[in-house]
Amino acid sequence: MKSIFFTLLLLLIVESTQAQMERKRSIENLPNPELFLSTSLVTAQTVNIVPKGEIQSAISHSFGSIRSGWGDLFGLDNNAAVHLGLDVGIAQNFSLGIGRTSVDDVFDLRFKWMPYRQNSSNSRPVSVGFYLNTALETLEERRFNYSFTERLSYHSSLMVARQFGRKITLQLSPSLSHFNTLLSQDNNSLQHTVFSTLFLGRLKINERNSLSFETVPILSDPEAIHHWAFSYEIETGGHVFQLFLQSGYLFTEQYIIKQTSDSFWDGDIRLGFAIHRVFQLKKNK
Amino acid sequence: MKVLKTIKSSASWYLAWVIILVCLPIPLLAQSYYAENGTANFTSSVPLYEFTGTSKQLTGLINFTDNSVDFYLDLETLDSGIKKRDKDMRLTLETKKFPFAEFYGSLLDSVDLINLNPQMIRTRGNFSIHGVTREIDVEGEITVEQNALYLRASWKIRLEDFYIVPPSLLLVKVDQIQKISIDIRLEKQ
Repeated sequence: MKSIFFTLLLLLIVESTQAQMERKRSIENLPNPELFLSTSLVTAQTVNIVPKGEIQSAISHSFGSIRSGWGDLFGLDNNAAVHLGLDVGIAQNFSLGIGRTSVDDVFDLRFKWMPYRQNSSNSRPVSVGFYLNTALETLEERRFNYSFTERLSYHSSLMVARQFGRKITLQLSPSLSHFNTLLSQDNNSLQHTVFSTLFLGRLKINERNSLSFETVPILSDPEAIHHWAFSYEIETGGHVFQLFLQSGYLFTEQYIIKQTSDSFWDGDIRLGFAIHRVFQLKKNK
Repeated sequence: MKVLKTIKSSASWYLAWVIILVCLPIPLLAQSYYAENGTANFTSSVPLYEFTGTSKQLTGLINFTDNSVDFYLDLETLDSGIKKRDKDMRLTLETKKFPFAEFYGSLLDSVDLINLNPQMIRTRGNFSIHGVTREIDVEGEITVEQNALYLRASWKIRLEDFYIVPPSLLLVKVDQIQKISIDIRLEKQ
């Protein structure tokens, strides 16, 4: 009899302690890995894309060569090059952007399409996307009267990237670049169309800090000098800050591929920085 | 002697039946209201700017049998409209380690389930976030609907009370005060 009584008493206690609900996760799957912190490294585009409904502004600034020494405070006093960019996520996998580089007054119009992205379950082991830009050089040229078409150049990339483990991301971007007009001083035949492969990498230090690099290891133009850049990236609340060292001061892919004239490994290095800021196009309801 | 024993035994059985009758109706008569699609807003501010993380997956239960109020939210469902800021919010709240914000407490005022006008109610209970629990009082407004309750409530917390280090935006620190509001329609169970 006593046992029945205590069982019922226990039932009462259990009944009262069960009032708090069992906590269940609303999101069971891990979020997809973030392969890079920003949509571009120093110049080259990454497989990251501006999400739909967001707009990203970016300011990149490159100083003069550190070769100039103390006199020019290692390049900080001269030859600044600036790139301003604005990208909009107009669909889930599609972004459109415009930009302007102060060197040669180059405007660029670009679009990125990222139909296939690496996921955490590894059923999609890589991210694959496509990038295209068209640049218009608007600098006044006194020697020639360029037409609009002659001022255009193009760049297209197939971007393939993968995050290995949780720290390392590598990206290869086989690319084709074309300049409608090139100038030559020695009447050599010039390659207007160049095949190259951009190679990008990121080492994640922690959730907010990364080290990354970009270069062009494969180039069909034997005259071109290989571009190199190294960057330290910091992310905080909608901003990505980049501090970088690079060989040139150009900020459009076809220009760094075809027109880089300084060699990083010979000491032609420039210090620069970039700030990426994301804004919301439409407020939450 | 034999008769007395029979009487004792019967008394025990009567006692047992009384307890059964008291216990069993608890789940049968329990008047509780439940939902798992409520809205929760976490609003933070920096000078001249304010942003809100919103989730539409707030789970809540109000049980009038024991006057308990139980709400929880998976913090990874908060959406501020900017993916990078969502990531920052998750890192700040350490949602991998502490996935839920929860409130478990009691109603301090009774709710008139016949009155269809909005009624102010007070609750007292434990609010937990970032692995820290503090007792708080929350005031809200409840409106009785047909087979449902509509509840709105809001309160403020100090981030440092919950050992949350606010992130900075361009060296400007996010304000220590975080506003939380909930908006939920609970269906009768």
